[in-house]
Amino acid sequence: MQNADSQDIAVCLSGDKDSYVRLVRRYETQITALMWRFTRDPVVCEELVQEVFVEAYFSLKTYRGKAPFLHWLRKIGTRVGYRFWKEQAKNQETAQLEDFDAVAKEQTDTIDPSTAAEVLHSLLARLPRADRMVLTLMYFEQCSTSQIAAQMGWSRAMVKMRAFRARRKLKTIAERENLLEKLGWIH
Amino acid sequence: MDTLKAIENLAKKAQEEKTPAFYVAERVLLRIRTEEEGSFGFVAFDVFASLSAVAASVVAYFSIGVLRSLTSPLMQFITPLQEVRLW
Repeated sequence: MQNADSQDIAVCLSGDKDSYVRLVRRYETQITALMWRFTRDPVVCEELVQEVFVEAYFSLKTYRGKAPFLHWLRKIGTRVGYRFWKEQAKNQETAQLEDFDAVAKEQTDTIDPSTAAEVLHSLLARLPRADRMVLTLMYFEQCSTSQIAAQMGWSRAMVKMRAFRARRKLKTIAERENLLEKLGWIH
Repeated sequence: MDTLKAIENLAKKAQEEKTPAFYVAERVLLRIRTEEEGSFGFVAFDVFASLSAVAASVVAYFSIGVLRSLTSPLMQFITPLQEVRLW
């Protein structure tokens, strides 16, 4: 895969855009999965995916090939998503938790993954942007602190500290919203 | 159940979610072409602006030289009259 990527990148840099189309098709599923963590709106998500690939195209010269191409794309994706949250905050589009009331009381292992993602997304949306980023990458993408540090350009110590504080804030929010009661998870 | 544990359980379930599929290759290509055309127009404008600035500098350079050589531009009209005997 990496050889194919290097070949396509080299051809693309020499001016052949068809090779970039091949790269986009190879990674659009993974990038869509990542960008879906930043918005639950399919139209916005598709725009963000496009944004990632357009930005990657214009920065392709800076790709050194030290890490796999997907890692590099994910880094761009994370930054595009982070910027999107900033714009969203400017427009004061704060997420509401009213959907919680519609969540059927389920067992922890039988809850629908899509519902679980929806609830978690709404919860995380109440955190400050940087905290939300750390926990989004940890919970949804199973990223380690060093991976988050690399993707965001932060130090590992800073990520650890932020994760610790963000979890504490999230716990407070979830308890204030009676999350466990709403999910029927109180035993 | 502890709240954080419940959130972690939610996260584990959320990871199993099927994400939507988009086929963006064609649109990405279109956006790249549009942005490249836009940037080409900008480059052309930049070149035109630079050439105009160079031309203006050359004109200014010669104009200043000529202006300095004239002590007073109106003297050119008076000088021939000084040589004519009026009476």
